[in-house]
Amino acid sequence: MRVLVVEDEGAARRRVESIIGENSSLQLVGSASSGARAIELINSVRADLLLMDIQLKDMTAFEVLNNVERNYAGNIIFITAYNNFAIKAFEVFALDYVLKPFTKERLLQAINRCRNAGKSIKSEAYAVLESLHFPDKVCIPEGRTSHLFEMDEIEWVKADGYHCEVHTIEGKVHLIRILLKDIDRLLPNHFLRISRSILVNKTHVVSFKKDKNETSFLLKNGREFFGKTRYL
Amino acid sequence: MVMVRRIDQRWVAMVSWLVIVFINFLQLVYVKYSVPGKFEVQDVLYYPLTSLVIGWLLIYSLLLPIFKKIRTLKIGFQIPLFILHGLVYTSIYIVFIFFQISWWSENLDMTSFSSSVHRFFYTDFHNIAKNYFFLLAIYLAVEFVNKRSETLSRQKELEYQLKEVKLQAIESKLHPHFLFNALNGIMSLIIENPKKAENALVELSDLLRFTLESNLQDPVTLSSELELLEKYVSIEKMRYEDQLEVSISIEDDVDINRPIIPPLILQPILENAIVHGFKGLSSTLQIKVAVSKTGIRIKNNGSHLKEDINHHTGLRIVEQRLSYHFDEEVELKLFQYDGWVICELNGLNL
Repeated sequence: MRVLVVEDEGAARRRVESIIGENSSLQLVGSASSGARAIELINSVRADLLLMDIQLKDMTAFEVLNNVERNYAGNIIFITAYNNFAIKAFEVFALDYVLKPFTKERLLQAINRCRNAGKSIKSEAYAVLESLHFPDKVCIPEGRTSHLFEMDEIEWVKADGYHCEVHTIEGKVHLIRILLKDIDRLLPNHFLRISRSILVNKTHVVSFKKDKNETSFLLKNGREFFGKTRYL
Repeated sequence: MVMVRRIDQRWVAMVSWLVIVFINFLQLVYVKYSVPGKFEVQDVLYYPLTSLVIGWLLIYSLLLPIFKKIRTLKIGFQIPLFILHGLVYTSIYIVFIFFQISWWSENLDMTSFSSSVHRFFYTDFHNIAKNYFFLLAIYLAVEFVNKRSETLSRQKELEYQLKEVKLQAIESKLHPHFLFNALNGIMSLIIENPKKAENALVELSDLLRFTLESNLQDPVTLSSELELLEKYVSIEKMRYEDQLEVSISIEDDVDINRPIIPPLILQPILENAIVHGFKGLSSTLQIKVAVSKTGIRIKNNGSHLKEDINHHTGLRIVEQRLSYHFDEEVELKLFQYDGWVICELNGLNL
């Protein structure tokens, strides 16, 4: 497997290089200490796997991927010092990542998983990476676009086939192609899945009534929702 | 920190009484010239002067102290007491004013004093009683205004404290991003250069200890602030190696042993310079810290300033802390000059 390393910190990069060097099935084809150099390398060297830090000193991984000549089609493992909240989106879209600091074993495990799955980068990755620029906002990716919302702007979400209706406090409805299951995992913890098709923002709930099989929620705007008690 | 602006009720009462007496004087002057023979010159002067003196004396000795006393009681007691107080005031006022008039005027002598006063009581009591309620209304109005400004300033004070606590909370944390990268850097050095890893771990621990344990309101000496900055720089140097060059210079006449600046002011400025300076830069980032008698200048040769420099939250917090600490005498300036991005702290006396 031909590996390209992108890491701006010297010691950290040399460590990744040496871990790859020790492993006979991996071949180091290039290593970059800046985003600009990474773009050059991705354009000129064929690689199967990119090991890339997300927050490079001169640009972000998003900018690197967005600025290469042809879309990079190989595997990517993101290396990041971001905290767990930002990383939720990586889980949802099954992007491979390793949190800093990491052991040699953990990195090799991620590489192996990547090799076995053999999947290439999802288009949502772009949206997810870009959303890291807006740590205070809620990001719902749709293809390469990220829909950004203020933390409590979203009032409730309704599943509609392969789409979701995202209702905001201003009464607007955004139709986004994403599964409710995925939105549920993406959004912060104060969003509550009250039934198979409805997600409500707890901060906008004014009262609720619990029954044996049904629980009703009253929102600030006067709208009432009925949830299955077994969901709660 | 916040000053409460109180209006003195005594002054307001005295001045409004003066205004009323002056109006009364104008009235008398008008009557004197429109109805010839009704008043003498001395009447026009003496009446207002008498009521001015008596009014002031009574306001000072009888009204304000008792107003104050009554206002501390239950609201149910206040109304009857004010009525009673008003009757007493009006009676005393009338007796006093007649006493004084009889003393200087020939129209009224002591023998007919009692009957004149009686007559006046029957006809004009309500007019004098109105004075009482006028003064009471002024007293209550001023009290209301004072109370409101007190509440406002207390609220402001609380907001101030809350803000400072929040700033501390944000400021006292090293960014998790910096922290985890530093830990990863140290981890990478363990095999490559164990001695360097050890040193870096100690520096990072010192930095953490300071941000976790120290009180960020107490000023520190420049030497301890610079020591902390050097620890931070050494970690960043460990991460970026020769991609980053930092130099610190201090002029000879600077006294570095006087507690003068709030702690952790320079580190965010340097962090800001590193994070933004590196953007789009492919060469080595140079940062120069220069300390002189009147200020501190941190300049870097990194990427140029963008228009929307207000978005740098790190610097905004530094700015707020400085203005809180130095009462806005110290100014933080960020500008571009001769290929350098310069951050200046002006107005310090080091």
